[in-house]
Amino acid sequence: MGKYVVKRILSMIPLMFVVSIIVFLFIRLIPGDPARQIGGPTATIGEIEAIRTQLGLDQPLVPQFVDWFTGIFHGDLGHSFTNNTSVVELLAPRLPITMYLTICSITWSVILGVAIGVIAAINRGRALDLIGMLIAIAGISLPNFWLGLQLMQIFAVNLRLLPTGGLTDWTGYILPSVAMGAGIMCILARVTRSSMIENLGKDYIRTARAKGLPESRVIMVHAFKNSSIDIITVTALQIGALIAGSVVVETVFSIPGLGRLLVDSIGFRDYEVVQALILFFSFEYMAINLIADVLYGIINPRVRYE
Amino acid sequence: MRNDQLNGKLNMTRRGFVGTVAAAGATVAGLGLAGCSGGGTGDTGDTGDTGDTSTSAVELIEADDEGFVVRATNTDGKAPKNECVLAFEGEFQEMHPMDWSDGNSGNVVYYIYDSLYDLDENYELQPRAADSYDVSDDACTYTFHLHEGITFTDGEPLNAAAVVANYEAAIDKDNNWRRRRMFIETIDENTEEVRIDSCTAVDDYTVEFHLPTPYAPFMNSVTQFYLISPAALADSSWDYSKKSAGSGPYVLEEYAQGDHVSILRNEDYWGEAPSIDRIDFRVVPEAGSRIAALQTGEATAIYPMPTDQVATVRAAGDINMVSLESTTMRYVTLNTNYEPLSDVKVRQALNHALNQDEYVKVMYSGAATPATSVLPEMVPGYKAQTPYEYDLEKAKSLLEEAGYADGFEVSVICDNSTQETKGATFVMQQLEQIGVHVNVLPNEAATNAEIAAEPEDTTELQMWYVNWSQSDPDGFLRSLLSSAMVPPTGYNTAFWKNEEFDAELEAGNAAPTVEEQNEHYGKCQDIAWAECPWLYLASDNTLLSYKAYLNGIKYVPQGIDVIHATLNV
Repeated sequence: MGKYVVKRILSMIPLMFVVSIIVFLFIRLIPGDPARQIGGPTATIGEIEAIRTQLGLDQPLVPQFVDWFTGIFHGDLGHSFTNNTSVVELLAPRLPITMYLTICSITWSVILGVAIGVIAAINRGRALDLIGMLIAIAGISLPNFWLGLQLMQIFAVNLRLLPTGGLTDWTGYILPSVAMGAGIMCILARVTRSSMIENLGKDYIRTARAKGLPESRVIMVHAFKNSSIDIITVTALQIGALIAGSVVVETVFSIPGLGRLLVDSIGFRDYEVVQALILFFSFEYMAINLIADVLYGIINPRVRYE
Repeated sequence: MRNDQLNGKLNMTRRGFVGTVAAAGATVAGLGLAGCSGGGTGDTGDTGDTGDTSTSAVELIEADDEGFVVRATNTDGKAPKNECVLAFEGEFQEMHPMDWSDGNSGNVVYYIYDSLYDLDENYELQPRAADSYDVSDDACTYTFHLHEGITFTDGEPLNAAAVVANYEAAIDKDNNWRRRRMFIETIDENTEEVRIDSCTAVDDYTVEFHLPTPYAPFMNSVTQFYLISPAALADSSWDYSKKSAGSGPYVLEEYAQGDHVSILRNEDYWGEAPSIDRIDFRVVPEAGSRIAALQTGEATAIYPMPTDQVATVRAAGDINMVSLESTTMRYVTLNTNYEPLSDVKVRQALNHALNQDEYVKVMYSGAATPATSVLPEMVPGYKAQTPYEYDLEKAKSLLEEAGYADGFEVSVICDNSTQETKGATFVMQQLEQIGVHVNVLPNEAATNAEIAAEPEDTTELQMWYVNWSQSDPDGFLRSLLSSAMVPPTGYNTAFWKNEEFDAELEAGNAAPTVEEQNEHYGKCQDIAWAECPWLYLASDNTLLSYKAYLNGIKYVPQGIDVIHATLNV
């Protein structure tokens, strides 16, 4: 498996290269002139020309790309045109915020989602199942910005327990994590439930019960272990989806994270910030998928890596 | 052109972005479970910016004589600390006093750096670092008498030499700082001229600016000319986002891009000392969250206040809300080169077909003033014109006279935010009444800026639903309506060229007295109003809400001013 991991990591390099070319071209293909965005509406034409030269935007695409790409290997991700600072400096304070928020959201939503799913599956057709699935459907159907605003109204405005936004201390993470994780929790509850029901109806479960294993062991070890493959798959996909969800939640809770930065940077055509962020998100996605693939093998030794 | 379009940008770009990452992810993962990934992203397409949607249930905003929409009933509240938190919708991008371009950053700079003169809430000049100024009879020489004894926070004196050093840095083409444009006049696409011949120190505390020709907007430029310590100017590695170098009432404490800027009272300030210890400018993009923060006291004041939350503010009891006339003008440019719009009768017909009062109600819940000139009423030099009465019969007969009895088709571009698209759709519905079919084309702001920058012979622009905000008449008349500012040079996207207008504008800028200037600017407005290069809409108000324990908050051209405000602690 060590060999497999190394191979997968190596295969990420050409993939990142392709992604970097695509993102480089993509942001330049959409209409909108960064020099004009930086200068603002009252910029003189001479000013805009000067900005263009300053940014190297008057150069052909190939040297621009080479410049940027070789910079990456020196730890230079470029320069933010709009904020007049290096991309590294711009991302550094935001990265931990987004990562921490993602981890918080994922942690609680996986634990709770899986628990609801398992309980619902065991009590299939009974009241607990209905309640669990009602929560799940409601959670999936609620847009997270709406949920965020409602939570803010209740816990910040009415009860004055938590802040409305910003991240001055740990309490600031609670509401955004809840808003961000709610959808994932509900999806996981549903996936866990259906996967558990499927597995609980299989022959090996009947065998396990027949040989007199306690029910808790049947459920948690035999059935759940097999369901966890599905759970990991969905969780990995949802972490990727969180990047998108974070944009909305970061806006609602005024959090200076990477999602909002990406959206703002696209609006301002801040090319190198967009490039760096997309590259980072692609990397994150690849890494998570790799971790998921490795976990498959740990849980189910029958999974073979080549 | 203000940065109030974020919501719209967000929708469009986020979808595009989600698509990209999802596609990349599928390729990498190859898990074949893509069907399961729907639903959890929360990608419902809108951030729910409650400030953008006004429904029929929303009450109309009516202000009393002092501009109050809501007066707090409970005024006993105390501020948690002697600190003020101002929650803004947009970002603060740049702390360099000569290189900022967004209004929010300009607002912070205003607290930290002194200019020679300022504009107060009535758009009148007030001395700041200068005690007084004289203008020569030919209106070409401006002499400023500096206030003596001002020092920058690093100990350097603010004297005539410092002003000259600042001026030289400001116009330096190599610096290419964005405020350089204050002193530059663009003649055409390839020519620009410095509006000032020289800036010299007469003695230690007297500075003289010499202009080649009289230029009325000069004093307006002076109000945006913020003075930096010469030591910082000389140090090319000075990082203004980490350390300020001004002489103003506050100094920079911390700048966290995308989150907040905090400033502390300058304990050595030369003028009347401010009372509030610390001011925190926070970015709170979501309207509902701004209101919530104001309710809980996490924010002391919010800007802008969403139009549909008046009831919330009223119910809170300890919040004041004011509605103040602004210098923002909303209009639709009509490309006067485009076939049906080239006829002035057609343009007048369109103006007769648009109900401005309805526009104000539908779009701004009443918190706006119908346009009665190309300038908003607040801008000095404004001259009221005879409104184009809402009269469909008259509009139809004008169209008939022009030979378009059956109407025509035309397209309008607008920013793709909820609010802007709604405005363009309103225009579409109005013009439909006289058989003019308008196709609304919402684009991202940056895309529109590019479309609008296309020169005359290649432009595809027909109509543009847009807005503009400036505090001096030249900033409107010249930038938007003079022949020299036809794209790509400027934003005269009506491609309207009128020699008489240009001559009056020039005469106005060159006139030595305010009365004469306004006489000429007034004529400019008469000409433009009659010629209708625009579809005239309205000037929307600035809505501001703040806790009752904050006294003396002002709204000045530079933004929100709490320098001499106090808190009940």
